[in-house]
Parts: sequence; C-alpha cells; structure tokens
Amino acid sequence: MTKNSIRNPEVASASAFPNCRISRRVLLEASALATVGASLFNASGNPAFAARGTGSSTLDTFTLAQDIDPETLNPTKVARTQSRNVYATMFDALIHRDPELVLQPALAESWGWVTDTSLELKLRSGVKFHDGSDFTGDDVKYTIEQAMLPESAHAGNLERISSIEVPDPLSVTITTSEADPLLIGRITDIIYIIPAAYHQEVGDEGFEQNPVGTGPFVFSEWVKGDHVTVTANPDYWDGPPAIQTVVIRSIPEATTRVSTVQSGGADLGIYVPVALVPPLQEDSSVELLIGSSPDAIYLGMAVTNEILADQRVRQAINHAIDVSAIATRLGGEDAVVIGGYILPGMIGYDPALEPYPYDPELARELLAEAGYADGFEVVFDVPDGRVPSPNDTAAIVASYLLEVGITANIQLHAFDEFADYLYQRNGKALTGLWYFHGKSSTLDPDDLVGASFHTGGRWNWGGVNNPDLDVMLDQAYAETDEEQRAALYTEIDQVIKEQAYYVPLYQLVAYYVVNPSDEWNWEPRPDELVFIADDVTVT
Amino acid sequence: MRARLVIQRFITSVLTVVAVVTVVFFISRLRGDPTTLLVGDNASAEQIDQLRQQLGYDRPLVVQYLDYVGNALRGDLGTSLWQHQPAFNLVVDRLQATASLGALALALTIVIAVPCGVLAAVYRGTVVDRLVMSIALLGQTLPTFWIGIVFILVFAVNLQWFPASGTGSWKHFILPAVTLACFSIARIARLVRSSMLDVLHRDYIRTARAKGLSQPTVVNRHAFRNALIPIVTIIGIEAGQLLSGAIITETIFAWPGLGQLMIQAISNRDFPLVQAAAIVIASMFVFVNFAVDILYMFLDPRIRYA
Repeated sequence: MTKNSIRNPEVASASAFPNCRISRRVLLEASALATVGASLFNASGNPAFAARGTGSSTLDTFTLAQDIDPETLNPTKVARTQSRNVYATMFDALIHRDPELVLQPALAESWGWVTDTSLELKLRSGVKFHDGSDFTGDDVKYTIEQAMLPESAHAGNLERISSIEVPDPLSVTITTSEADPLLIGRITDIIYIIPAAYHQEVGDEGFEQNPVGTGPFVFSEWVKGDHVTVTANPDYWDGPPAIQTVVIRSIPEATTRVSTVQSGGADLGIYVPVALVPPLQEDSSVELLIGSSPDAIYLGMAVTNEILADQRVRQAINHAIDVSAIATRLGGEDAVVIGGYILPGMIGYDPALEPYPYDPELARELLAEAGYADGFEVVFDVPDGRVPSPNDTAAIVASYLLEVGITANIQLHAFDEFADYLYQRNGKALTGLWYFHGKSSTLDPDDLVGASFHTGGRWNWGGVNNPDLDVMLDQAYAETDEEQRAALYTEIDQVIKEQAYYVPLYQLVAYYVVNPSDEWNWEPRPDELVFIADDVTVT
Repeated sequence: MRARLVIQRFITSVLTVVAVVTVVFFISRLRGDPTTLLVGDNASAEQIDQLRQQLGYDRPLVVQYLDYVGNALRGDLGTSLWQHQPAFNLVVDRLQATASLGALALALTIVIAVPCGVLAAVYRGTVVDRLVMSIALLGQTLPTFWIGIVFILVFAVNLQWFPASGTGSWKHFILPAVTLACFSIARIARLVRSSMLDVLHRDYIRTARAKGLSQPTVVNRHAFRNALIPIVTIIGIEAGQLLSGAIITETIFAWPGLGQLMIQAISNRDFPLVQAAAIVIASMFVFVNFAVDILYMFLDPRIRYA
C-alpha cells in the first residue's frame, strides 16, 4: 500500500495486494481526469443518474453517520456538506453532478446562456412536491430569492443575479448584472428547490417542522442532535428509490462515530480522521474506503511584504519545505502531494506538475542571492480551529524554514478573527505567511485560481498583482471551448508555480468507514458529498 | 422564621441567575460577534456589514444587553443564529434528554455510593474499606472521556450488548448513564464514608452502643440519620451538576442534550443560544440547590429554631 499504488491506477486493484486490508479504493487519478463539464448547452430529456436499484430488490433501512446535525431543514439558508447530504434526500436541485462530476439534468431538463448575462433554463414537467402541488418556475424564482437574502450562506454566490423571470411555468430566465459563467456551478447541487406557496403559508417555523420538497425521500422526523429520518417517496419523478427508510445520524465524536459503524449502528460513517485509519485497517469487520477531497492545504505568501515580493525568496521557501514528508505526516500515507494550485478533479489539472524539489541548500543560495544570506523574520498567521491540523502544520513548516534561516513567528487566531486578517477588516491584514485551507464547492478552477491570483480577486489575500497573469485568467474564464479552457488553466498553473506565489502542502484525503453488506454498494465521490438515493446502489 | 429564610434563599437564587446571564453575555462578546461566521465564504464586506446591522450587533454593548434583558423578561430569549429558531424552544427540546440521563445517573449514584460509603465507614480498615476506596479513587481520577470510549469499545463494539451512541431505547441509556455516574459515585462514596466516620466517633454513638443497642440499629437509626445532613447537601450539589448538562459524556455518546447543544452553540458563536442555554442551566442548578436548602431546613433540627 504505497503511495505509488494511487498514482498508478492499473496496480491499485485488490488482487494485486492480497494482504491489503483496504479492499476497495477510489482511483484518484482516474476520477481526476474526468472533466467537470461546464458545457454551454446541455440538452437532454432523460435523467442520467447513476443506477438506482432496479427491479425487485429493495433495502429496508440505510443509516449514514456524520459528525454534525443540519442547522436547519430549510436548504435556502445554509450550505455545509453535512447539511447538503440531508437536503439531497428530500429536495432536488436544478442540476446535479454525477459521481464523475459531469453535470446532469435534475429539475432543469436543459439550460444555457443565451447572452453573456442571461441564463435560460427549461424545467422538467410533471414533477410534484411531497404535498401534491406542482413544481413550476415560480418555485425556482422563490427559492433563489430566498437564497439571496442576506442571512443566507448562499447570498455571496448569487450576488450577481439581478433578476429572475418566469416566462412560462416551465421556463426560468436568470439575468445577471455582469457575465458570470460560474453561476451554473454555483447553483448545482446547492440550491435546493422549495415550494413557494407552502413556505409562504407555513413560514420558516412551519417549514422546519415539516419540510416539503420534490426529492426521492419524504421527511419523517428530526430528533435534533440525534438523527433525521426520511422515507421513500413512491411518486418520485425519477422512480421510487430502492431504499425504504434512510436515517442520517449525527455523532460529533469521531471515535464514537466509527464505533457506531463497527457495532452495526450505522452502515456508512464519514469524516474518519487520519489517526483512526491504522486500527481500522486491522479491523476485518469493517471496510475502509478512500476518496479524494476537494480540499487542500497551502502556505500563502503576501507579495505585499517587501521581502516576499522577491520571487527568489518565494522560490527559496518552496525549496525549503519537504512537502512529501508533510503530506505523509499530516494527511496520512494516502495524502496526495500536489505540485500546483489546481486539484485533481478540476479541469486544467496536470499530474505532471511536480512540487519544487526539497533542497535546503538551493534555498539558502537563493536567499543569499536575494540579499538575505542571514535569513529574515516573518509573521505566520494561522487559524486555530475548524481547519485540519493547523498547529502541527504551522510548527512543521516553521521548523523547515528555520533550517534555512527564516524565522516564522506563528500567530494563532480564532477562526473568525483569522477571517478579519484575510479580508482586511478591523485594521488587520496578512503581512507575511499564512495557512490556507482551500475548499472549492464548485470544483471549477476559477473559484480557486482566479479568486486567489487575479488582481482584486476575492481570495487574493496575498496582494498578487500580475497584469500578464490577469490577462491569462480573464481569457480562461471566458473561454467556452472546454479543451481550450483546460489547456489555458494548465498554463496558468505553471505560471503560478514559477512565480511561486504559494507553497502547495498537500491535498486532503477523505476516509469513510463502511459496514460491508451484500445488499448494497457505495463508492466515495470526489466532492465528498453523499447522495444516498443516487449513489447507494442496492444489489 | 422559616418563611423568611425561604424568601431570602429565593431572592439569592434569582440574583445568582441574573449574575450568570450578565457574565455570560459580556464574556461571549469579548471575542467579537458572529456575523463573519454566518455568511458564506464569498460574502463581501458590504454584505457582512449589512447583516451585522440587521442583527443589531453594531449597537453599543450596554444597549444590546438592556434590550436582551427586556426581551428575556417577556419570555423571548432571542433567535438562534445557527438554527434560525427561538433559542428558548431549542434549549427546552434538549432539556428532557439531559435531565433523564442526569436523573438515571443520580439514581445510580445514590443507590451505589451511599451503601458503599456506609459499609466502608462501618468496616473501616478492613478489606471492604480498602476495596471501596481504591475503586473510588479510580473513579475520580480516570477521565470521563476515557471511561466512555472504553465502555463503547468493550460493550458496544466487542460484546455488542449496548448501542454505541444515540437515543431510542432503554439500552441507549445504560452506557452514558454509567459513564456519567462514575465520577459522582466515587466522590459521593468517599464523602459518605467520611461523614459517617465523623458521626460514628461522636459521644452519642458511644452512648447508644453502651445502651446495648445492636449494630444495625446504631448504624441506621443513629449514625446514618445524622450523617445524612451533609450527605444530602453534597448529593444536592451533585444533582445540580448531573442534571445541568454533562458535556463530555453527551459528546462522546452523541447524546442529544443541553451539554452538546451548548458546545456547538459556542463554537458557532451563536450568542442567543449560548445565553439561553446558560440561563436554563444556571436556573436548574440554582433551583436544585434551593430545593436542597429547603430540604436541609427540615432535616436539621438545629436550623428550625434559628
């Protein structure tokens, strides 16, 4: 079970490693090369989801154990992964990503940009909400408007929408104030449609007590802090699900969550921490699955800092850090070392892009060339909590830097205070190095790359101001041909690496623990979401 | 006479709750307000400011405080920022889970600790005494989370006698209640023992023995009754703690109670919910102490005529 087994899909099968306790693996590179379709026009009248249980086989109950309870059962307000797993059972979005991350029609049968700022969607007919009412464009309009309210977590994503029209019950036209090609990705699998009339009638409180959607399952009960139960919707537009009852439990303590799966209290447990992997590998009663994660850890560098403005210094820092060692030490033996900013699974990802080789000697040379033969001091801002191993990461990175003469002064901040540093609020700003946990919910490289390196980009906390790069980014953003777009982003990634604006530390790996059964199958998705109706296939 | 004491105690209790609310209010705002945590990653500075204004976090602290107290007196403890529902309702929802677990743990504590403590005192110096005291020492020194996890591994994963987490049946109660009770049993047993020892050395016990009364009569009727006063006090305090939310046990066993709610509310910077939970927990604790004080008055004849 070496790291090589991940990089070479051909050898990663169970039979090649008979002693391997991990009997099933998601082939990270294979799924990585799948394209994230950002197709202009996707016209298809047929649902194209992964196979549900067809025929007579059904499963009585499926239990998923996650770490936190949904905050609310109203999907227009929040966007956390764990909550989305629950929403996916009771609601549908307009567009859905299948396990290969290809966009598929859901409540929208087809969609496309008719002008730069006008997105038209044709809706599926004959869909009914759980209360029997018909699904129409008015519900889409209402839902999006709800999601644009200031207290909703979606508001930022939908900022550029200026109006929504419903020319006929099965069409919706969304107009944006400026070109926003990523809008499609931002409403996929996140904006779950709620019934306008029902919500207006019962209000937020009533909706919490009894949520109604169009989804494959109908709400049954929510014992707060414990579990949500849903039951099969026999009238679901894509056919009734093969699972009768789904229970989604919330178990915050990781060891307990894993023990619950081991003792049969749950079928699938997500968010298994790296520390628990070795004992689980020994346990033959459960199966450990590995999936890739859209999250990665980076070391950011503020180019507004006089010293860090010098490219040689930044490159020196890259050479000073042994990212393979960090990846293995912090992410576990399956962690993926990344050479660029774009992650496997996103278009433009280039597996050939290697990180800077670990070479402290070269680092010292570069520093001397830049005039810092005696090293220098720099601030290192780190968020304390809500991100993977910030303290350990910071300490390890700082010790590598110390070897080449750079003294990184670690400053731990509570998460919300750290946000002040990122967004330059309350007089705070990033002035040196910082720990960055990159999460892309749309899996589009512009979300990460454009936001982080375009002048004025909303994640450009380092103050990168590179006009040539801006031109390349603008071009890639507007490019409609997929292959061209991928090529452009690959080029951009290389430029970013050359400029050494940051150090990619490692991509996280998602571990899942499963109570193996003859009755069902499930494979992890690269976006870490769990779509029970679609992806749990009943055998 | 007694009535005055009762009223005095009641006023002190209310003032204690008010003090708790005030302290929690101001301390939770020391690190700033939760607006940044409520919005998505892509929110702009304007959107954050707009939300801050909307929620009223841009007003001076004292104004926010008075506003809060005014609402609280009308029964409105605010709306949870994290769950978008009335905070008071959310707390009350979880109250039953915590109270039922606490009650079972308390029952276990009384049923196990009191007899053990008495036996250890009566048979002081013997094997019984040493055994009880050693186990009590373990119970107090082993961390609760460790005990909980070990119980889960042994009884849920290996033996599969009980479920590892959650609620639903009587079986779900056992492991968390025993885990929660461990510390209490240990502590109460030791206190019962010392209280009994203290009484057993009194002159009136010697008199009772000299009168020829049998050992059980001496122990039960004379010694135990007198030892009861400090024991009831201690059990009362323990009850307050058990009933008001066992954070660690609830988190380990995914028990949907107040303790877990409090922790999640704090990490989400959900001020209204943290305050509501603090008020309810403090009130419960204070009420139990108040009840113990009243009980004390009836138990201890010396107070009756104070």
